[in-house]
Amino acid sequence: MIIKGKVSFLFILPALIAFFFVRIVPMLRAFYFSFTDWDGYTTNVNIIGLENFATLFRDPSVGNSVAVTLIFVIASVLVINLFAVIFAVLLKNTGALIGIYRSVFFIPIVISPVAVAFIWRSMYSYDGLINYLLNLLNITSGHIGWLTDSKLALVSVIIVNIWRNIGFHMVIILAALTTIPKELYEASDIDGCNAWQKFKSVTFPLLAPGLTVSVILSTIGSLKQYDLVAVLTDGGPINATQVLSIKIIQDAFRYNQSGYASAISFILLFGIIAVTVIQHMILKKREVEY
Amino acid sequence: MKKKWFASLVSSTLIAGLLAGCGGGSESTESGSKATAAATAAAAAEAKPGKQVELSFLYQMDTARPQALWDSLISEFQTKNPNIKIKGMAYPDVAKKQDYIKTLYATGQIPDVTLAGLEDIKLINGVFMEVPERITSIFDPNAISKRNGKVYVLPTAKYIMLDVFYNTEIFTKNNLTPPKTWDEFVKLCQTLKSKGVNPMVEAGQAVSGYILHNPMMTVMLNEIDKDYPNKLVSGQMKFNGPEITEIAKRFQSLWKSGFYHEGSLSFTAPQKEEAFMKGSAAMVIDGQFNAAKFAQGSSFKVGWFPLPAMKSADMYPVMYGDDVGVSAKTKNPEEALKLVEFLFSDDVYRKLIAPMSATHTTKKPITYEQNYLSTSMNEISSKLAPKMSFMKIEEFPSGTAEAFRSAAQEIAYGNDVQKSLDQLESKFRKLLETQKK
Repeated sequence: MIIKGKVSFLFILPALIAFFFVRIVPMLRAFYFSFTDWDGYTTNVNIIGLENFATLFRDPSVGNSVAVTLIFVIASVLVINLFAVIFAVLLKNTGALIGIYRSVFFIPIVISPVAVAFIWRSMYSYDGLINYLLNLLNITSGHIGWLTDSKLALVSVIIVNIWRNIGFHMVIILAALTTIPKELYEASDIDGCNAWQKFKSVTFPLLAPGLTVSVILSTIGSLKQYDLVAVLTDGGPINATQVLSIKIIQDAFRYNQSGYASAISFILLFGIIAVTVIQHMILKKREVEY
Repeated sequence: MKKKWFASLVSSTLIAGLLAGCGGGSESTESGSKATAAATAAAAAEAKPGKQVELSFLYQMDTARPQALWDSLISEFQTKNPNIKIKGMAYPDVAKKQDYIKTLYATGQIPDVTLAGLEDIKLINGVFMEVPERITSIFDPNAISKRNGKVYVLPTAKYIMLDVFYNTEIFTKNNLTPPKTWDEFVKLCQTLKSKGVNPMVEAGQAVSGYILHNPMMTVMLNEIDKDYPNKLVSGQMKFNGPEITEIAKRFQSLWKSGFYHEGSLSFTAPQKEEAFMKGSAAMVIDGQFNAAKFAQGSSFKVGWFPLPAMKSADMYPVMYGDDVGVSAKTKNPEEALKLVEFLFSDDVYRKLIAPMSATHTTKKPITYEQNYLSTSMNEISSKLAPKMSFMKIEEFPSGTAEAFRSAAQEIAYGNDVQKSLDQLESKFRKLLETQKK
């Protein structure tokens, strides 16, 4: 057993080494720089203690980014998982076509987020497809600034995030649905349950483990969302879509405040860990077994 | 069986795509170079044997200077210098070139030689190597800037910066002439608006799409105090002080008065240009680098005038830009400087500046056939005083342009002017502190 364990370890060692240098080392360096005034370029680095952390709690732009991020995450997670469950339940009964439908819904997550963002940016533009269709159908007469109206931009970005991620989470839910024993549905048929009662009493409770995974993954993914927002709006207009990840990059590379940006990134990391743990504790309690 | 076949096909396609994607940005350069491989080989056989080196060269590719131009220049250089191989790469997104070059620098991947996109990064110490006197001596002293008495980057172009292009047909039809004071300019916009004509169009989504920083700040601040850059840096003048607050309020009033084409905040730079060239707006703020585009792409004659300051219109913003810099960390400094000298050799330099309608920055004039609009701009501006464009002031620390652009956008959107400028002032002081360290 010991020899088998050592051989197994040797097989995973290359991956562990790569993980260590690609993930752990940069994280440790970033943690160090979060206590410095590093501008990202010079070798002249001064340790300034907790000054960066003190500053970010007083910085109104960080407060704005946190608020924008929370709205982005809550809206995305709720809608993504709601529609993922609906689509998964509907697709489960499509029989032979399930493979095709699953592939079609999965395609958005396979496409590069940058490509997705460019396509949607074009559709959202002043004379893009969406405004054209709305005018054609006489729903609106003017042009809507989907990405340039500060009241609409965040909604527009959330829509793209939802569109891109529904398929992936639908597949997770679909996989969870297939683990529900058919006998339970047969028993509910015998008991005279209608479709809604079956969903409420059989499907939804037993879907909990899959839903837990889906909710946690969608939360983490939305919290650290960068590429979609960067291409669509770059955090604008007037910081209306400046999620934390955008704020971090802008502070690091445009304002030459890499130390400060590192401090914000660690706040984001701790936030993600805290939210994940809390979600897991709450959702785990809902899981049932019949 | 069918599923396995399909899966194999998809996997092969994905792998092929992955390998193609890992190919990097030099494919077109390499394909262009292949065509002259025979010539290069012949030249190499004749040339003295030298150290074989590879230089990375980052440039800005756009509609004015397409990939084919860069391929031919690189090929020509390699033919003349067979021991030097150039790995050329273009900025992937011109609108974000400054972010791109800074990211490359931060990750230790800054190219040996870079042309364009250096406006912000050149303000950071230690990025570029000092240019030797044998090269700097060929330049107009007004064109090159020094940091601590040394020259680190060389501008390839002098541009009349963002200023007013106008539709001469609309002006003639409405009996309008270029204004000489700010009040005349506002009255001109009101007249156009009352006649159902969009006075201006802007590109809210463009990198520097706001009239505020160019030319308003340039001419108005120069009218108030020519030494404003030093006074802003020293703190004698502040971004949230009365002078700049007044200028910002005038800028905001242009938006609030509805002088901009509907959708201007949504427009990208190409959309702005198209709206002007189609006659949807009477005026557009743009630079000399787009003079050829407007001259050739508009169905009407295009004119140019300098945006007035409060009392006069005798100044215009000028920029010495599209800089060339050699990385301070290059392993082949002499070869890199050879490339720089090549870029400023007569014929090559002409090929670089002619598509951009730019003026030379060297002492020796480089002339070429210009479009009517560029000629007109040069004639008019020759009677005016050039003032360094506000966004190109080198006394300002790196990051100032981005901070100002952000504030300008907030003001255009109708945010409280004083609040935006307070935040800008705070940011500016922080950037100065960072630079001093």
